[in-house]
Amino acid sequence: MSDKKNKYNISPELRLQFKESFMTNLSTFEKMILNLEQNLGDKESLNGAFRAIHQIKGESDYIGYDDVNKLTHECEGLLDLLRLEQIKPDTTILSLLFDVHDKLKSISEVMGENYDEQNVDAIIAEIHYYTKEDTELPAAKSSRKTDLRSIFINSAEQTIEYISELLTSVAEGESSKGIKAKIIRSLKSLHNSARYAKITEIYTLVQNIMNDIDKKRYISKNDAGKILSDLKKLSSLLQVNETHEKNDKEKEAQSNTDQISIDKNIKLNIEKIDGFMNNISELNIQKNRLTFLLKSSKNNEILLTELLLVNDKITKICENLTNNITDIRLVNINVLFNRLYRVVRDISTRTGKKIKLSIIESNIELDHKVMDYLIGPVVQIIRNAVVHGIEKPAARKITGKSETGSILIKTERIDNNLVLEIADDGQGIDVEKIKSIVKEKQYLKKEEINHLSDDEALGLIFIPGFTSIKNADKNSGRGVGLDIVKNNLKAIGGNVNIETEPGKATKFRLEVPVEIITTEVLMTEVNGEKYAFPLNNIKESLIIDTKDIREINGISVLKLAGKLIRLDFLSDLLKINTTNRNKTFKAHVLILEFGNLQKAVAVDKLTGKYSIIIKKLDKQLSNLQEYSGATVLGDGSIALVINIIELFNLNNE
Amino acid sequence: MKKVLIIDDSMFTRNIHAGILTELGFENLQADSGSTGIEEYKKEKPYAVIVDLLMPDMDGMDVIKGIKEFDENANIIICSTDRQKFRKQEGKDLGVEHFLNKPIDKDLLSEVLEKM
Repeated sequence: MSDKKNKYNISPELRLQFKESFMTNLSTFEKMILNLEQNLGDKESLNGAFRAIHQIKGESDYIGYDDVNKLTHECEGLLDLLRLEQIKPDTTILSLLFDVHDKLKSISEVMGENYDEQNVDAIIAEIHYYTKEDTELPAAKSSRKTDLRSIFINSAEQTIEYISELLTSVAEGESSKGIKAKIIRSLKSLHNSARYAKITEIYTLVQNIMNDIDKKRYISKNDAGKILSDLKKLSSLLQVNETHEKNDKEKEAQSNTDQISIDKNIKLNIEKIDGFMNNISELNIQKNRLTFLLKSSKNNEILLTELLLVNDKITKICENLTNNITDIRLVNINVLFNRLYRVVRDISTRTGKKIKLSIIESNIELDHKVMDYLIGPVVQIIRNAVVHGIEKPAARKITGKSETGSILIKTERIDNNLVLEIADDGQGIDVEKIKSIVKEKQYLKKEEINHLSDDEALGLIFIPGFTSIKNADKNSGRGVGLDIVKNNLKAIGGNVNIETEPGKATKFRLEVPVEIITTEVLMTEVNGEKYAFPLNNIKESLIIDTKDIREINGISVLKLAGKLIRLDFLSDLLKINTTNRNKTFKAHVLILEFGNLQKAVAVDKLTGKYSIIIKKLDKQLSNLQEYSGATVLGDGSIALVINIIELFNLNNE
Repeated sequence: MKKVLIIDDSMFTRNIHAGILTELGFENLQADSGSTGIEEYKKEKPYAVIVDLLMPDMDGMDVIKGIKEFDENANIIICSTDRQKFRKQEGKDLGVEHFLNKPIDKDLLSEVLEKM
């Protein structure tokens, strides 16, 4: 690596360019293999995946990241064999390609000028199983093994079902012409995958069945019966494995691989920056003009007109700048969508579901803060749809649905809001079941439950801790979920609704504002209630001994840096009944500033700095002038935001 | 200063190559796809071209054909990570003698550019 480093002059800008190109290629690669998985023979996707890996490889040669270089080189070899159709893509190869993606992604997270190169030997050894002859599959690490096993079990069940159908027709007396070849072919693929997934007992059993069939010229009625009973044995063996696999899963760490994060580096449209830059240079011109005018203030009347003009211009520019910066903070909703395909793919693979995710893209832009709050809820709802909503292929078949379930995401911009719909064609939500859980967990009284409308009952699934699953697993459950969905959305002034049709469909409708402005506040507590003070207006905060408070004409004052300053208790200003004020104790005091005015306000407790989104109070509360609004905190609690101007007014009464 | 046209879909690689060319005393022109590469060649008539083989819009060999159609004596260097022999042969068949492996070697590139 070091000799390569000396060979090419890599400036920090080039290093950044490498990383950006790396991430773009990596996400193209992921998109392509997702496509490939949906459509196994798709040449376009295969070529796209190849090109992306090829480019990463070529670029890593120059920058000297040997781990990336080695891994992409080997992966390119594998993709080449797929392109030349020397090997066929199947779920295990796809799963390996996803692993390559994830490995590269994890390397990208530590990538830098001096980073410890990651060990890629294990995954390369897995690739060699396909690209080099006579290579044994190495023992995969446990999580991958579990993943492989579940993939294997799901596909094996389907294969066995298929073979059984063929055999049953023979057993019922139909012609067995061509059936032997079909069965052997299916068994062979089962055999190979069992070997790959390292499930020896199944591997051996399939081998024996295959040998038996191979000896026969054709499959007779009797043979069919015998093979069918062998297959039953195989089925029960699979079920044992499935239970093992489930136990393994539960043991797995709670770390959540489905969590997605959006890159904090916003990709900027150059025009947006230009608009910003233009306004800044305009602002500078006006500022210089102002300085000049102030210096040459001979004729005051002309000066005043000029100053007013400059003031108008600066006001206008500041407005533009605010718009510019709001604009720059916007990210395209597709950034989120691009990640969802992988989330659905991973959870459905683990749970043995077949699911097609369709997203109608819309290019709606929203503030990255809104995006931050939206990701969690969307992923949670999708996870619920995959785990609880959509049934296993066999169950869907019984109810006359297609084996592949569907999740459809639609977006629409209505005024200043983004409306996002997530609809699945699964089993719907059983309102009666919700009611019985509510009863069992005693969230509500019995008579209250009886009076619930269906819609109201549905709303109860947002109660913290609510889960319909007895044994929550890695994929979903544990009762944290929908309550967080609701809180996250409320925090940015959004909302969520559910519609469900039992047995048929569920639709979540999320509504969030596309733009929000956050305010920095200091959170305080009085009498157990939370009050937020805009940080801009706080000069300092201190702890005082209450015995230092003096009374002058019935007004409390505090001596601060030789000056007397009026002190009020927030509880008095807001007319809150306090029961626990202890006048001879230490108090937290905020020194507030508004223009030239200063005042001290005492609170019970300071709980920290927050970046919040202020929501206007409802109309019926808007006569409460002392508050400029309210905010919902991460834990779902509400804080009132103090209107500083009003607080100074209250003082003068 | 003699101009060299770099045709490569990777911006990062183009910039690396551009840096090397500058060190070697050449001016560089850049094209991010095969088709714009051919256009650029026709417009600028550079001293030489460094062309990548695997690009989304067209294969490097087709780019070479396009340039050769316009200027039979164009100085072309293929620069690729594709090390398969048949690709080299394809280049030779089109009259391109210079095949440099990626990552490009500065001394080798200098030698080839001097010889042209």
